[in-house]
Amino acid sequence: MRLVRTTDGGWTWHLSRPEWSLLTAIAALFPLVPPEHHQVTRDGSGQGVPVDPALLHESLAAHTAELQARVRGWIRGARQPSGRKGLVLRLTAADLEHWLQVLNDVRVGSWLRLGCPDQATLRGLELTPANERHLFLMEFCGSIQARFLEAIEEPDDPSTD
Amino acid sequence: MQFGSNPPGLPEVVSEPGVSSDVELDPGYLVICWDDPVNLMDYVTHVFRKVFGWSKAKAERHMLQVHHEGRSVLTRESLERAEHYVHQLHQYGLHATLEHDG
Repeated sequence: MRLVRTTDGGWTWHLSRPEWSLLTAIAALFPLVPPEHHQVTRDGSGQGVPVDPALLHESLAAHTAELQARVRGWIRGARQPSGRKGLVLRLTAADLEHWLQVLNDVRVGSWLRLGCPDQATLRGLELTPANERHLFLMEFCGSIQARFLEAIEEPDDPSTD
Repeated sequence: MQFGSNPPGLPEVVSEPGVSSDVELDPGYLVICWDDPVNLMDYVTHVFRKVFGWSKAKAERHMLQVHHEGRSVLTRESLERAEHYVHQLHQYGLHATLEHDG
């Protein structure tokens, strides 16, 4: 994946065919993090704060469904790669924010399926035939996230500190 | 001309059942972000900047606190605003919770 051009309206990327296939697979896998992963309070009981955890979960589920529809629609609407050259993608700032959330979800969801291994040493990795693809997915999502973040990094504004 | 219980020019105060304004306006709710070792450090910094509008330096300070100390108190707000922030952080997949301070 290579950044070709940056304009006011967004970013233009070149993707190889395998990269495009992986992005399509990621959109199909999303969401991978189970809803109960997110809790309002540390112990998950909701005690001590007058908030209905069910409402927050409903709201998050609605957001996830909207994100799922957006990225899948975006994949359907993108020009399919023809030939071996791959394809050119144009992403707006909003597209990138959506993709960052999707990539992070699939990265975290893959990590959960791998038994939450240590990121540096992979200690705790429980690799099985059923979850081995998640090791690759976790790394691939992280590398695309890093490229997107590098591209959209905004200059610091000390006045907002 | 007769007025209600309030002096002229002041609105009537109407209580809505089930809504406690004291709770909602109490600025004593902490938004805490917990370490989730799989999240990229640059991603966490980006999310803090997006959600809170912080400078890169401030967002990085909190990101590093999460990374090194396991958690960071991001803000202290009313219940409604704290809930909003926690929801936003969950949308980005960060491990954020609410806590009453005190």
